[in-house]
Amino acid sequence: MESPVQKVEAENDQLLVDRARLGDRHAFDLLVLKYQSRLLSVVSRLVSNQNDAMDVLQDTFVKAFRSLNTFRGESAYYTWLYRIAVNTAKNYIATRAKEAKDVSIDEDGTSEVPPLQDIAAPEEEAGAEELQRAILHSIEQLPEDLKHALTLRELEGMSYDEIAVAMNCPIGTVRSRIFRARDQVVREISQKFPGTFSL
Amino acid sequence: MTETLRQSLSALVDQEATEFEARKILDGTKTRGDLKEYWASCQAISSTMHGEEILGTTLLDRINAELDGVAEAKPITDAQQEVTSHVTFLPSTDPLPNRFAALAGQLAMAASIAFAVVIGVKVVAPVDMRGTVATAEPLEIIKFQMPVQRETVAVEGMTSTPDINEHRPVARILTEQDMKQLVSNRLSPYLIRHAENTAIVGGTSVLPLARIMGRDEPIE
Repeated sequence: MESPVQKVEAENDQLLVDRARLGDRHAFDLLVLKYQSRLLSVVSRLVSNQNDAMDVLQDTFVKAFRSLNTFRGESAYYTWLYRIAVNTAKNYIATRAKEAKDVSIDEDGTSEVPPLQDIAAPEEEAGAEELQRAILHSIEQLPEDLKHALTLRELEGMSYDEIAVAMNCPIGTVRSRIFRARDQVVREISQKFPGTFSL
Repeated sequence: MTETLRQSLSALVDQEATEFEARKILDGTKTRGDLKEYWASCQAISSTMHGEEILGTTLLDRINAELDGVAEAKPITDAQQEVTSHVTFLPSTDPLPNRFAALAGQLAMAASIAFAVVIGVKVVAPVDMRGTVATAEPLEIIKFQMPVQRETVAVEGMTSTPDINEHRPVARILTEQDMKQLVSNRLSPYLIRHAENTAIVGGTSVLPLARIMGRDEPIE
């Protein structure tokens, strides 16, 4: 049975999907930004190479955008996206394996498989890790009520109603606390890493 | 960006925004880049708390570039299809259905040209056509009938001048009896009126009498 959180999520996603289906690329951008990290975790378990995972993820979202008309909303958008990502990763692995097999057979029969190269810039990885550390540090510095509300929402996956019951406060207060927590972190990060999320 | 809008966006991140708030934010993203930036920041916080990697806008840029690239490359695809359709006219190398399609197209074009020629000849020189038909078929005469009461009868030695540009002719086959009936109904009053006018204006001559004679005698 669908939980209230899943139901609201599906409804909000459906709104974004409906907009994207009508050609609103901004709505699709929001969907990409929302699910890219979750999907990268999934794809990274199937494709060991980080760059390959990014390629798979790119193909996944491009396929998803082109196939939006086939999404009927019977399942959550993320579930639908998840299936596309897994299938794309499997096809990618099969293609790479075939290419490796073709390359490995030389004219003289010797085997030569090119090593997979991870061409991700080390400075980029270091920057991402530094950014994560800064975000976690900012969260740690939040007032207790804000941090508690944000943690219940993000890590426990509780709805605003459930958090209101858990924290014994009105739902409007929950909404405000979570917002203020995020807003404070974003402001700190923007000062430390200017232009990090510039679009 | 106002605090209210940022709070609505935060609620949308948690799927707790009202539909009105969601629509307002979505409409705002079309004109305000900072909304999307704030959305990305909130998603980065969420990803970090879940132990996921922060991607920022790198992937988004790649996706948009590919989608935009596809849109630009579409005319090239169309051009390739045009080349393919042109090649289908080569009978020796193309599959059978394509050859049939090409042949059907050529036949259709030839039929169109022939039809246009026939119609054109009938429009430009209708009198000659009727005369030829009347000569070839003495007993069954093709009559070009006007929709209004302006029938034109094609008879040997007698022709009328229909206004073809105004009305579209309709072919009808008349028997000899029909033709005689039409002549007696239509042609005779004209001849009588003409004879009377000629008698009044031009004096006595042989011609009016000859025409009146023609009225009394069936035209053979």
